[in-house]
Parts: sequence; C-alpha cells; structure tokens
Amino acid sequence: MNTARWRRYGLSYLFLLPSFLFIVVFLYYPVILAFFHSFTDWNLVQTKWTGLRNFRTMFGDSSFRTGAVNQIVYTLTDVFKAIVFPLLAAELIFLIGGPKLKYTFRTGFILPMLLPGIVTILLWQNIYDPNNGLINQLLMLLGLESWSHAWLGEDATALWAIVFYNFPFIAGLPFLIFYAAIGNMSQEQIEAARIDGASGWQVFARIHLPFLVPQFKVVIILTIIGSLQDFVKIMVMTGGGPGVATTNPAMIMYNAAFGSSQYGYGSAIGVSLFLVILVLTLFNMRFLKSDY
Amino acid sequence: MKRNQRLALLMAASLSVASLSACAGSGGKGDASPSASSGGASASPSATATASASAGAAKAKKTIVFSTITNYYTAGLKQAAEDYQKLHPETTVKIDIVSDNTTYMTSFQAKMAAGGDDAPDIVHANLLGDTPAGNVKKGYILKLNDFISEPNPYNNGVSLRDGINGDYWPYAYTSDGDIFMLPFDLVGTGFYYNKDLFAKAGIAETPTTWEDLFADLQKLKDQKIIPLSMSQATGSDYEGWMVGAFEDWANRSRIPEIIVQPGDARSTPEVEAINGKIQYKADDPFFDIGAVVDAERTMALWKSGKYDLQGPAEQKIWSTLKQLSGYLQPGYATMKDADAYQLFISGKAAAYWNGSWQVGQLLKDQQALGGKGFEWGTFKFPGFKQADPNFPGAPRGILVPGHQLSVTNKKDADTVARAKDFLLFLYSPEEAQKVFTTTIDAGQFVQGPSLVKGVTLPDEVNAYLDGFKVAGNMNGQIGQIATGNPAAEPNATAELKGLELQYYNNKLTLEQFLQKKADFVKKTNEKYIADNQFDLDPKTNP
Repeated sequence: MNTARWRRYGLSYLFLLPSFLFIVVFLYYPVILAFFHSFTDWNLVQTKWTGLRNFRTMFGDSSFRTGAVNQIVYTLTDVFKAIVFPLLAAELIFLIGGPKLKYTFRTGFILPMLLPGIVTILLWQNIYDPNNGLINQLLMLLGLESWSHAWLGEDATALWAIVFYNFPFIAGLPFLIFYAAIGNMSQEQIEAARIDGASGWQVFARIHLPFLVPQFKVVIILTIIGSLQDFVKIMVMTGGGPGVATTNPAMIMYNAAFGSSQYGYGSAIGVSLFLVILVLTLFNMRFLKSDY
Repeated sequence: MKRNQRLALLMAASLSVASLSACAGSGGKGDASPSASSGGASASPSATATASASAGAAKAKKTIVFSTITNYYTAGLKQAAEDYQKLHPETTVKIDIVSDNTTYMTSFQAKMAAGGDDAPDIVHANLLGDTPAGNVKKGYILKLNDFISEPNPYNNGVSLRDGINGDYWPYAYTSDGDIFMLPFDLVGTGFYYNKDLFAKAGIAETPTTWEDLFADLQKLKDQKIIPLSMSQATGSDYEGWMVGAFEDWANRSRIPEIIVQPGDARSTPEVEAINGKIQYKADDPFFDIGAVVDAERTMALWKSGKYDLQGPAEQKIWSTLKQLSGYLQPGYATMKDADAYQLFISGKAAAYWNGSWQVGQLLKDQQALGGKGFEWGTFKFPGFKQADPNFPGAPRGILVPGHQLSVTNKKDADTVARAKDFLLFLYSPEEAQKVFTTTIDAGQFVQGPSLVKGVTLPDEVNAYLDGFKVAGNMNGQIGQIATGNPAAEPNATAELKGLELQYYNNKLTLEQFLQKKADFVKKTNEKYIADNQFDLDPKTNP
C-alpha cells in the first residue's frame, strides 16, 4: 500500500484489525483445527492420527444414517416452510390496502422474532405435551380424545411434530426479505401487465416470482445452513428420541464431542456437514441463476 | 380488486392470528417448583474450630473455587463459605454453580487439559468425565491418602478417616488403590408415591414385589390416574437404574470374576487388600463393597458367553420392564425428568421413580402447595413374589456416597492447601450439620443421610429417606455384559433405547429384541475392546 493510500485508509484498516483477528482466532482457526482433528482420535488431551476411520465409523453407524435421513426431511421441509409461507404472507400484506393495516400486519409477523428462540421451543413443547398440551386439550374439548397422542414421545409422530414446530412458519427474516423485495418492484410494470389483462396469478407467476429469484437464493442458502446446524430444538423437545427417531447429524456430533469426549469423531461429522453445506450452496448458486 | 384485497386481508389475518397464538399458547403446565430461598441457619462459626497451620500461615488474599451443580447444597455451601471466611478473611471461597452435568464434566476436562489454572479447586469426583483412576493418573485430581489421616483442627483433631462413616470409605478408592474423594452423603433410588391417590385406588400398603406393584398400578390406571411417572428421555433415562438393578441382581454372583485379582497387570498391594476380602454370598448384599473392578476382565466375561443374553433372566428382566412401560405417563420416551416430576407434584401421577436427592425439593414444594398438597411416602425397588434362582438374594439399587468431593491437582501448593483446609472445615460435624439444615430450609437437594459423623436429620426427612435404603449398592459394571456400551456413549445409549421402545411398542417380539440387543452389545463391547487395546488377558498390560 502506498503512502497516500495508507494515510487515507490506514486508520480504517487498524480499526478493522481487532475484529479480523477475533474472526481468525475464534472462527477460522477452530475450523482448520476441526479439519485436522477429523482424521484423529482426539479427547482434548491426546491426539492420535487415525486417517479416515472417523468417516468410516460415521457412515457405518446406523444411528447416523437414521439422523441423515431425518436431516433430509428437516432440510426439505425447512426450505419449503421458509419460502412458501413467508412469501404468501408478504404477498398478502402487499395486496392489503392502506398503510396502517399493512403496518399492523407487518408488525404482527415481525414481533415473534423478538422472542428468544428457546422460549418458542418451550412453548411448542408445552403445546405438544401429552398430558396438559394445547393440542390434546383441544382434541378432548372437541370430543376427539382418541386422536390425541404423545406427539413428541411416539415414533410415528415425533419427527413430524418437530417439522410442524412453529406453525404457520412465518419466520421474520424471510418474510422481511420477501416483503422488502416486493415493495421494491416496479409498480409501472405491474400496472402495465394488469392493463394488458394479466390476472393476479399471472402477475405473481410471471413478474413477482422471477423478480424474487435472488431473494430465494439467499433464503434457501440461509435456511439450509440453519437447518443443518440446528439441533437445539431437537435437543430440547425430544433429545433426539424416542430412541433415535428425531436425531440429526448435528445432534450426533454434539453427543459424540460433548457427551463422550470423542472430539475427533465429532469433528468428522462437523466437517461432513460443512462439506454438505458447501456443495448445496454451490448447487444453489448455479441452479438458481440471476442477474444479481 | 377489492374482493382480492378482502380475501388477502382475511388470509393475512388468519395467518397472523395463528402465528401469534403459537407464541402466546400455553400448555397449561404450572410451575410447582418454588424459588429457592436461603436462610434459617445461623452463620456463627464453629466455636471449636481453629485455623489450620496451612491456611493460617498464608496471609495473602486468595480465592478458592468450589464447583457444584445447581441446587446441590448450593445454599448450604454458600453458608459454609461465609462461615469459613469469617475464620479466614484471607481466603474467599467462591461457590461456582454449574447448570448441568455435561457442562461440568466437559469444562473440567478442558480446563485441566489447558493447564488447570482456571479449573475449580474443589470438585465433584463423580462428574469429572473420566474414571477416578484416570483423573489421578492424568494429574487432574489429588490422591488424598495421607490427607484423610491428618488431624482435623475443626473437629477436635479427629481425622477425616475417623470423622466420616467408615462403611463407605471403600467407595473412595480408585482402581489403583488411592483415595480420590471424601464422601459427604449417601444417595439411593426408589419410588415416591402419593398416599391420597393410592388410598383412592384402594391400595392400603406399598408393594414389595413386582407382582403387587403391577396389581396396584393397574388399580390406579382403572381410576384414570397416571400410575407411574418416570423419564426415559435421552440424557435423563431413569429406567437405566432399574435395568442396572436387574442386571446386578441376575449377575452379581459373577462379580468376583471381574474384580482385579492377584497376578493381574493392574493389581497393586492396596487393591489386593480390598479385593482379597471379596467373596460372593447371595444373602450379603454388601459383599463387594469397594471392589475394584477390571474393565478388561468384564469384557472377557462378556466374551466368554457365560451369561446368556437371550436366556431366562434376560427374558424376565425385559418382559417386566415392558409390563411396567404400560403404566407410565404418555410421552415417557422423550419426557424429561422435570416434566415427569411435575406430573407427580401436581397430583396427576400416583408414583414417581427417582432418587433420594429429590426429597428436599418435594418437602419444599409440599410446603408451598399448602392445603393443596398431599401425603406422600417412599418405597423400595421390589423383589419377585416367587423366589427365582436366576435372581438370588434381594435386589440392590444405588446406595453410594453421592456428594464425592475431590481436590484439583493445581501447581500452586498454597491454593491446594487452602482448598484442603476448607474441606476440613466443611467436614466438621457442626458445619456439615449447618450445610444440611440450610439446604433443607432452602428446598434444595439433600441427597440423602449425611456420612459425616454427628450430623442428624429431622425424623420426617429420615422417614422419607428410608424408602431409598435398598439392600445394597448395585455394581455398575457387571451390567455391561448384558447391555454393552461400556464407554457410556450417548449416541449408543439412544440406539439401545430405540430398540427397547420398539419392543415396548410391540414392533419387536421379545426374541427379536434380545437378538438385536445382543448384536448391539457385541458391537459396542468390541469397539471398547479395540479402543482400549485389550487382549482380554488381564495378566498382561495392554
């Protein structure tokens, strides 16, 4: 960097340096360490090189395979939920006349974002509670007691109870992303389409959807990452059970690393998740082409 | 357009309401646990106590950290720390409260691996993420062999060895024969029951056999009462204690085969002195107290196939547990213990399986419930009505020192000396009594009867604790020949639980379940053998 540039930007770089150092030390360095340790047997005290053994163990483990299948269900449904419902809500609010009403509904959808995640998880755990839960109480009131279940405690329902957690799935961030994008669309173009006789559905399908492709990319990538990393709600709601019915790779990774000090094996699962996220992200970038 | 707008408005409104209702909904579960409050006990220091030489000599101000788990004598320990500081203003004792066992174990291992400077000074030996021998070998905790024989200045010179109930010292030895902890109290497992609900179902006496227990549970079920509340969730699978008790009952005659024996690579004179006295007697449930078990011998016993993993004993154990599962609360497979307890304390479940440490909480909650409370009692893990040669003698359960305190092996000798001095203070009868009293008053966990000589508990508490005094303490390792997973890996635990649930839910027959369990045992035990490089010859050191 020449002297003039240093004089102009030097101070800015200096201010950035501490943050960058923190990121390197607390994010990049552990990631590199995890790559290394995924090929070792590491218990925080001793490290022994084991080559690909952790990865072989992972693929040979029936619990991991169950977790991987569960993860596919979680991720596919998470992406579906993150796209369809927030988009629907954003479109509906966009169509509502009057700024006050729009504001009221927008706030209504955003407010739940302020709740700590764990609170929502515990609320849903209570909703599913077999003895005192809202769902079973409601079924009882309707005379449908025979339909009640231990939603989180039965093999047949536990996985889908987790999938239906937080219904109607209007997550604040995707909703805001879609709503902001819809608000930024060219109204002249939409009006022109309407004058040309386009129906509401045609406007949505031919103008809105293509315009929203960059937002889809962002939401899909963020959702996939979040879905693959998420184990908190599973841990709190079912602990991965009954048995391993609702477990996922992140949960298995946590148990291996922090439940039985198998940090090498845990690192191998973490590295695998990282690679899956990378591949899916690249696929998403290529598959959903846009000009942005 | 207007129609579209109205439609959109309607749909947005319904979605919005649904979204908010999810956040505002309540499962209707009340919090019966009152907040803990401290108080009751006097804070006056022991009149007989004098400062020990080690702490008295050090004048520089220092803080020692006593790490404990939420609610475990928290109020009592804080009281003791205050009392100690009055005697020794130069030493501050910080009671560091960790929220859960996993964090406790992981944190200790990580801090010690990093040099130990940031590790707590006094720790729970049973929550350190490795065997006692392993932690001593790694230099993480101190051998207390000489320390326990030193005169305790806070107890008129009576040493810890003599000041603590001698029956339980054998539990304080590592497999290498070193003293690694100081026992503070005794814990046990058993059933709590709601006397009012039992009476309503026409049950006059508590069951002492499984047959009677099932008959009683059926009576409760007929009254539309949840008969028994017990968690089987991952991480709080309390059925595991029942499995352990059954396996111990069926296999304890084989314990002499798995203890370290003369000529073994792991044998030392100290271990020989303990194990030499051990002889199996069906009518002596304490025959193996303090036995030092050898993991390699345990694996060799499993490999020998002497115990039939699909034989009559296993069939009886698992069919009994399956029958029991039919009386458990809905959702038991993923319900955490806190929720299982809520069912009991709210009067929805008639019985509750847990340990003696819950007595303090129950007393406090009953007090808070006032007129809405109920009469309760405890009863033991039952036997079988007809004597069964596969289950000789009486069943055992957990009956061991609960609060096991160790000293962290730190480089700073002065810090170690102060930690030891605080322990001497804590184990004086007067201060230990104060810890128990303060803890009970605060509604926290008094795990069981004190092992510090001279400490007494109220008659009411002692009466409740009686239900936990089972015949003796089960051997935790012998069960590995039948249930595998000797490394206690959580993922493997969940896998076995999955099989059990399939059997309980009639997706597997008993035969299929036992076959799959045997495969699981083979897989996990062989992995353990390979990981530990066992050649299954205990005479050689792998």
